[in-house]
Amino acid sequence: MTAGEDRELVARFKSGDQAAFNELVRLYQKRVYAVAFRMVRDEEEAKDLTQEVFVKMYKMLPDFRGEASVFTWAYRATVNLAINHLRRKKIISWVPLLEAEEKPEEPKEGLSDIDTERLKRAIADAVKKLPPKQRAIFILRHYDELSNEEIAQIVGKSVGAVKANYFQALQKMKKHLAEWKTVLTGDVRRYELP
Amino acid sequence: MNCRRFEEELKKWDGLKALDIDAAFGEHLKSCPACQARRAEYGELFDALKADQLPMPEESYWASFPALVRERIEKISLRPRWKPILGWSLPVFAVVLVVGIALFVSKEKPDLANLTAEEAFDYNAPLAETVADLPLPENTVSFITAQAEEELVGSMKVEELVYTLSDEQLKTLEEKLTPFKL
Repeated sequence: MTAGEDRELVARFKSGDQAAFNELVRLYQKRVYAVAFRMVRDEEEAKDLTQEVFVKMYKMLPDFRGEASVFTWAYRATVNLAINHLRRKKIISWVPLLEAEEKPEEPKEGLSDIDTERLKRAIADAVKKLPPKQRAIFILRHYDELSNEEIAQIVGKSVGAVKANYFQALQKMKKHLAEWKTVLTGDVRRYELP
Repeated sequence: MNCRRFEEELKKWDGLKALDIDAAFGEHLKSCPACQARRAEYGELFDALKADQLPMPEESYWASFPALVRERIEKISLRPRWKPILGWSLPVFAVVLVVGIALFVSKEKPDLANLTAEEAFDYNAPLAETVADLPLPENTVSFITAQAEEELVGSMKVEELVYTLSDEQLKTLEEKLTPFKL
């Protein structure tokens, strides 16, 4: 999808064609969900955030002047909503009296490789430990393979800051996974003892 | 093993793929064990990240997704657009108050060694019959929280209140909570 096609859909929507909005939703729904999930690491919360992004888009489109592409706008809205969601969760979990309900982790079926599952959890933990904006930069760069310039536009930082944050995120992830590997190796050794 | 070139190059190119196609660094890599070791470490990280696959909802979900968004838009447009007097200040005040009370009650421990006679012997207080009757700090905290919630926000929980705040309000709340080391 090119920026031109995006603009055409926006123009159609502005002239009253509601189906054009549905097309925009279909176009970006999975990408928005992917970023949302990687930010919040919870399927239901990610689905909810994805809906929220498009509700915002619906409200914003009548005033959309096309300075940035719809694609950039959708990414920016997703990152901002996810960051705010994480801040809210932080406040709720911090308030000592409110005992926010912790969802028990559902056992995953059909997993034969325990180590792969452990590794996935270790990665999820490592991602969760990154500060929200750094997390967003890491996700957009590593998983979505956006350019530094695009990310800079989305998160509102300079290209240099994006590069530095991505590098820091990589180092933190490397450190976290190295610690996990040590623990895993220790576990394996323990199980190997007679 | 103290060559810093790998990190410098990685910062410059921001990715292992780019590092691999940079001929000058490729030459350096061949003869530098430190950079080879770091290249292997990062390689492991990138391999590990491949295990992090996305749990994508089924196609049937995506087929109905635009309708779900529409439904949500309609719900919002049907919602009354009134805002109470003082707008968001009430939820913010309620949250700050609850947090404040919680911190105050949990931090204030009675100085049992220096109690006055009046404080030590409250003759008007009914005698505790069981351990559960004793005013334990956690019981007091829960009670006060419940009261504060009830009085200030009716049946609305603080958790829900936090979700009613706008970005701006959330920022204000965070600032107010900063002294409490949020």
